[in-house]
Amino acid sequence: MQPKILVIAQTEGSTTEAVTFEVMMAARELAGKTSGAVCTAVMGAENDGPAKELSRFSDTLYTLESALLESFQSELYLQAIKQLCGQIEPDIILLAHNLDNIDLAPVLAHALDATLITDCIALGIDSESGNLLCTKEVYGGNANAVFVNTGKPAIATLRPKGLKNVELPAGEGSIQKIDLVLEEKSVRVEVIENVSSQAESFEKADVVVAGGRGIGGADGVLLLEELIQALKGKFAEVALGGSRPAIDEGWMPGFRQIGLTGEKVNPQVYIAVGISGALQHMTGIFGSKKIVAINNNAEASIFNYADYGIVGDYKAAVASFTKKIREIS
Amino acid sequence: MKTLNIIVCLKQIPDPEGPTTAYGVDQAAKEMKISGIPPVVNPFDENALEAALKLKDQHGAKVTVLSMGEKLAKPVLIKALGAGADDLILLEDTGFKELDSKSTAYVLACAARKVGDYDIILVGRQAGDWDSGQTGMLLAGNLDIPAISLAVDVKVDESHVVVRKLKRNGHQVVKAPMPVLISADSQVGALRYPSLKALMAAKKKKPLTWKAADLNLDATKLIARNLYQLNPPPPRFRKCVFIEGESLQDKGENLAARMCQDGIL
Ligand SMILES: Cc1cc2nc3c(=O)[nH]c(=O)nc-3n(C[C@H](O)[C@H](O)[C@H](O)COP(=O)(O)OP(=O)(O)OC[C@H]3O[C@@H](n4cnc5c(N)ncnc54)[C@H](O)[C@@H]3O)c2cc1C
Ligand SMILES: Nc1ncnc2c1ncn2[C@@H]1O[C@H](COP(=O)(O)O)[C@@H](O)[C@H]1O
Repeated sequence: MQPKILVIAQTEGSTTEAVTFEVMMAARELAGKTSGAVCTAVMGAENDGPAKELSRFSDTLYTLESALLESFQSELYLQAIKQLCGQIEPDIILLAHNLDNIDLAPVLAHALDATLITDCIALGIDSESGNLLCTKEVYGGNANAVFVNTGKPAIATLRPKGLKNVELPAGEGSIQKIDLVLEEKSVRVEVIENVSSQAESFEKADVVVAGGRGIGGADGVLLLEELIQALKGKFAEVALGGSRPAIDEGWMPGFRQIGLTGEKVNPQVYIAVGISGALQHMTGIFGSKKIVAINNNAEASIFNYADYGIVGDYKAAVASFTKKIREIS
Repeated sequence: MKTLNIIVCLKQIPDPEGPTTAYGVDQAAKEMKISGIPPVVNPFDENALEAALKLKDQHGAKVTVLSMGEKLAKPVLIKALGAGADDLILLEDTGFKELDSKSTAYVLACAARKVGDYDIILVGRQAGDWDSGQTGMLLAGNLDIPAISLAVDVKVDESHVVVRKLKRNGHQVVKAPMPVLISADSQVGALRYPSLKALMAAKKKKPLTWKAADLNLDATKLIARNLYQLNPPPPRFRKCVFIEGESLQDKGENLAARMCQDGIL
């Protein structure tokens, strides 16, 4: 079998989101193993920039342009992808596992009567059947399951790894414009308001300082921010992160959540303050070179995963850690 | 306005925050071997139930809980009644063992149709066992109703719901006509504690049990998860250097000194 692999690109206006390159690489690798073809779909109001860039990875790039696709709306995106799939009949569809696609991917799977495996960390092909094999963490990271995806098409969303630099292949592939007929009337979920602020990403962070339930409140975040300021004397990029309770309690905005249902980070140093070490948090940070834990419970499981640990109340420890870093800068 | 009918889908799973030592993998059988931890309601489903109960507080509503499994521990689900749900329906059948997401959504859809006349179906964004995160949207597809994912706040405005949902850079407010399916994020809020009195009363209630045969479903559509392999996770433990000191101040300073010495700072 020489599968036709369709990548749904993730773009924001004229820029391609970094995660798209990771998905493209995975698609290229699969295509390499199977002599398959990589097709890419770019959706938006005006796609020239991303289309050119991504055509380098693609045998054929399809641009799906409409003012209605300017920003993500699940039902309209679904209509567009369905029309493309009707024309090109892909065997495999790959998307990034992000908040928008948590919505779109299952809806697409239902519409195409396909099978979806979400949040995959590796893809392969079963040499006997030619089926897509999708590896994902299950039970919060307590096991790795390899699923056989017999769907026609087989759909997978890929976990963003937060890779720093992906090399662009040289050259350009062919770009094809798809004529769309989008029906705004049939849209049932109407967007009323966007409440957005600037969301930072963790890709470039050398150090992440993260607070959990144990920091007790927004005041705790201020202490962590002082530590971050001190660390900026030593490292170019230092970011604030949090475990889920720190977000649910409203101490930090949602994009700072790290873990299974948050961001995955790979800094040189991860400093976990008042975080117990639940696997659903840890799975987001195992890529860190060094892990430091500050926790007042010597039995907390975070210490099993840490390179350095302080047992004790975080306030005094963080303050003197901060002071000393300033001194040695 | 007629009384709101809300269905909440609760999945029973082994405590996802149980110690990692409780979780084993039988690679030959491609099965999890989990011991010594209790079953719980999937945490995101508790959030979904809380969203339903908040609507009940505001508008009055009938809240029906559906839970599907091969074998369910009733005491775990009785908590939902204690917290304020009105009815509990167990979808229990040997044929419901380890179903894939598509089949699970199909069974839940058949059950929702049997409950009938629903306005809102609430689910969790993801179940902490297989971490699949798609059953809700598939269920909406089955029922051909609009779906809103990742809700952090749910309001009802006459014949519509107005939902604040997660976006990476903040929130988005959307509106959709009922009937509608909504998946809940943890930011919706933690499930209220049932009072002791409510819990006692709940224990006296008899949950309904529906088997596959009660659901008017096509048994050939029930398909188990298609596993090629199930493997233990890679080793992840590290050797922790515990920083000592007379006081916490000392420990903090010693940590910086040690990390400096090791070439990290
Ligand atoms: C499907 C699913 C997905 C999930 N996704 C995520 C995710 O993406 N990210 C995430 O983080 N969680 C996630 N969770 C939740 C996760 O299981 C844990 O509940 C969560 O990570 C716990 O956060 P915590 O460590 O901050 O809080 P707790 O577990 O309550 O730990 C707080 C810690 O702080 C310590 N402490 C208290 N006071 C002090 C003090 N004064 N000084 C020092 N230490 C102190 C305590 O000893 C304790 O160890 C998910 C759960 C599920 C089921
Ligand atoms: N067996 C089940 N019984 C009841 N609800 C379920 C079941 N499986 C999944 N759900 C619902 O669907 C949501 C998403 O599940 P999943 O797709 O398995 O991550 C859960 O949070 C539940 O609300």
